[in-house]
Amino acid sequence: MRVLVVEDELRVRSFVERGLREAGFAVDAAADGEDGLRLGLVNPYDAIVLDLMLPRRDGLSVLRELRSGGRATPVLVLSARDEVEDRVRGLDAGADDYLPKPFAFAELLARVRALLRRGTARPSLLEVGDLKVDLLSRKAERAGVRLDLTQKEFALLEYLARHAGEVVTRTMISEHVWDMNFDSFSNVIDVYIRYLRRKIDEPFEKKLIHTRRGVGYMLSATP
Amino acid sequence: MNRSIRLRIALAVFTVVVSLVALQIVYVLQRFQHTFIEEVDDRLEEDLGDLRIVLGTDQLSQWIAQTAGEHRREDEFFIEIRDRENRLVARSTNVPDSGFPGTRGIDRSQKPLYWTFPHPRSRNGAREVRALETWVGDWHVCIGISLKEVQRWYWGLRKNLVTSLLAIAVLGGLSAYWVAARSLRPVAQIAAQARSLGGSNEGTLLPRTGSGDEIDRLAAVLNDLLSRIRAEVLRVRRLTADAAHALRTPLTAIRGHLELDAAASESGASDHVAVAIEQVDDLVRFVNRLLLLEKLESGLGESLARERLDLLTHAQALVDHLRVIAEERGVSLECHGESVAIDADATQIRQAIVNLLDNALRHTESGGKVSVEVGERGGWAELAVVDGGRGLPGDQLERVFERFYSTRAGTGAGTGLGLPIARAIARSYGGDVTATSPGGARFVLRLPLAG
Repeated sequence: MRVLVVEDELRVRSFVERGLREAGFAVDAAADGEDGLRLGLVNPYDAIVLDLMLPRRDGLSVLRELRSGGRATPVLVLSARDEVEDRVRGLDAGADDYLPKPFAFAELLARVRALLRRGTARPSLLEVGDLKVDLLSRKAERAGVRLDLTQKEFALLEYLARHAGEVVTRTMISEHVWDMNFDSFSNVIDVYIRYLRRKIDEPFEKKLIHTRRGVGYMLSATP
Repeated sequence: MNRSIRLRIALAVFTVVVSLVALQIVYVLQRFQHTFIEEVDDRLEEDLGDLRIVLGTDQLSQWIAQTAGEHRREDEFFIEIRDRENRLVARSTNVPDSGFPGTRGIDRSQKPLYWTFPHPRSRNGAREVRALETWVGDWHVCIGISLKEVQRWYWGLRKNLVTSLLAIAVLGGLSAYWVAARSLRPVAQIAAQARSLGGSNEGTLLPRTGSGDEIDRLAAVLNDLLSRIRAEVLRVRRLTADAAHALRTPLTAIRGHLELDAAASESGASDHVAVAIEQVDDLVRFVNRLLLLEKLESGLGESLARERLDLLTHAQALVDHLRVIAEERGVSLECHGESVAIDADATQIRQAIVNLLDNALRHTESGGKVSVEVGERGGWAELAVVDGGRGLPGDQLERVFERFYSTRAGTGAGTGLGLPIARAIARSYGGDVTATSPGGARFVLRLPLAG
């Protein structure tokens, strides 16, 4: 998988590059809009991470040129301004997703992966170790034992299972499971993770829910 | 003193008009009286001339009877004639037996004497008689004419003048009131406009009449002041916003690198890296809140799309979400009330409610209770959050809405921006958040009803 990162801020570009590489992607980087557009038109990238405020050519213009040049590559737009307007303009210009700065790298990674997964069939049964999550009947069991989950707990488990093996941040959880994101909700998520652990992990020796301090949570058969 | 300038001007004009016109009336009446008395004196002279002819003849008593008769209808005639030894020669019947009232008994070398005395049959002495005392040859003559007619004229005139005085003064006062009200109308408009002005109403200035009068010039000066204050406020705001904004890129970079370091190590983040990440997250939250507040207070949030919302539904949803937190803390959290529709952006309204709930939960100790009441009250959509804390002293009821103000009474540090943000959101919709302290603290979010 090959990803292009267009970002003029060296400090941000360096860790995005490094992080994506560590996650197993081949990464090209450009420091301005002209460079980014040239690379984007020449190489067949699987995804592009594009900052909006760029020297020489701004992000929106790069995006329009890419689209009018026939490139359907999924694009994740980064912006230092989290204004709704920016988001709308980015999506109008053909962006596939939008991430406001400052962001957690785990979130950027998850969003890039989500863009790459687009179009692939979603399984209706998710399995993590001996945990089975049936999305159709909305039932979960571990080692053949039926888990008695509330609606919210199931929704949280579903989200974790969809991103099994990946770290998900509290922001991602609250936006996707609660459909809204407020600072005070991170505590709520911690509480629900605790509820979930009590039902999924406590009765069993092997723990599936892992905490990545300062980042978020991960559902995985391997720690 | 009365607080209305209009009334004061009207009263002043009324007083001045009354004094001036009253002076004028006194002058006119005196001139009038003087003129009439002179006329009467002329008639007395004429009568005296006639008397000269008949005096000493046998026609005297006939003349007296005739003259008194002539005068009887309007101006009663008085006469008394005495000889040199002061013996009574003739006297009209209306002269009292005690003698002609008010005679001085002048001697022959003295000039004729004029005076006025009360009519002998006048009860209160209001009717008067004009009299002349003189010597004609060897006779000492006193004649008088009743001023009945003159006095009637005089009183009539005085009544008319006083009536018109009152009319003029009342009209003057009313016109002054009207003129003052008209000239002061721009002041009322300026006051009304000024009351609705906030820091965010950019470009809105005080109304100018364009007449160039004192009030117009005052409005111009105030507008100038307003523009300068706004420019200054804007500059400070921009400074805060720019500073917060400038922090975003370095924070993103710091956070990213820390996170990658944490992920690289097998056991996840070491304690100090995790603490550093959490600290950066706190800073990020803080910067985001500050930027949100700036955006709201500078009026940029007003461009958001509005939709029809039920305040109760949203309050109920948030209470359900946050109940787990309350339960963790041993606080009971409940929501009741009735549906009430508003037009607003759901995320913003939820943010405001969450901030109020967050504040209430942090200030309520275990075993306490936080309750939310939603409903329509006094033409507003209202959401009240009552906590089980120690309440707020009077001087803090407004201060809690200041940025970074903390009572430090609650558990868990807030950013000191939650309540200001809640208020700024409410105000951006024309509502408000206010605090009272009927025991615990009670915060009321008030929003305009949908419509």
